[in-house]
Amino acid sequence: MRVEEEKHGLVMVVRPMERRLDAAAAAVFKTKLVELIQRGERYIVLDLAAVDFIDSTGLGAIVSSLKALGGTGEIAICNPRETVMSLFRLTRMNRVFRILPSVEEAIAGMPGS
Amino acid sequence: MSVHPPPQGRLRVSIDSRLDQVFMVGYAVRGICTQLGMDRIVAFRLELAVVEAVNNAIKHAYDGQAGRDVEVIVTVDGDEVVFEICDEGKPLDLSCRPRLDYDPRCKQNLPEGGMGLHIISRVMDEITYCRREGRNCLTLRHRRRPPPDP
Repeated sequence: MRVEEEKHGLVMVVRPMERRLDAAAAAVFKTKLVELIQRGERYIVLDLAAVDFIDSTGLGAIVSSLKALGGTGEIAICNPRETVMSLFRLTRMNRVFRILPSVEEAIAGMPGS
Repeated sequence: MSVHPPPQGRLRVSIDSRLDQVFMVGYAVRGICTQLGMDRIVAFRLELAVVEAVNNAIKHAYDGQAGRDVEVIVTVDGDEVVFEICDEGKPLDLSCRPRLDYDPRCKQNLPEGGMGLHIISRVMDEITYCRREGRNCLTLRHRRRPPPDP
């Protein structure tokens, strides 16, 4: 799972570059996010613009990473396609994560931005 | 102007029980649904449901072991599309299907897994399971709906 990272002040923008965030990719993706958190990143924006398909294992990787923050910090989602939003709604995870239509709006909503 | 009869057809595919092969099933399902003229989101949801079922077969029926077969049969019959996901692993226990019941405000109790059957039940119109001579078969039915009036 190829991932791009871009720091904006206190906020780390993480951009998966593969079209499918599925069970095959989820473990590696979760490892990358948890590594960032262990390095001290607390405010993460996941830019899902490139992701066309996500399954519950991919979503679970995002949830696990949120829990790895231990209650400090935030993971926000931006640029989800309609298909990806569909999974968030099916699982009610759209009520857990802030989901924004752009990276700028996601960053702006983070503390200290 | 000719009137086409409702489509009827059947596709049977088989993949090795590896999570990195499930995408092939996904592509097949999405392609069929798209060619049948289904809405993009409906096609995604059906692909998702089938992928979840295949993932479950690999992770639970086969305990994640590669080298086994997961078979997917797609049957199109007029307004109904039927997906059968079959394996020869451990039985599936649908009786303990957990409800996806959690408080979105309580971050530490969010589910990290176990969402597959909930997703399948939200997407599909009917789910049946049978086991015969060591073979599990999960059958998912979807009835196509006409698009809403503009």
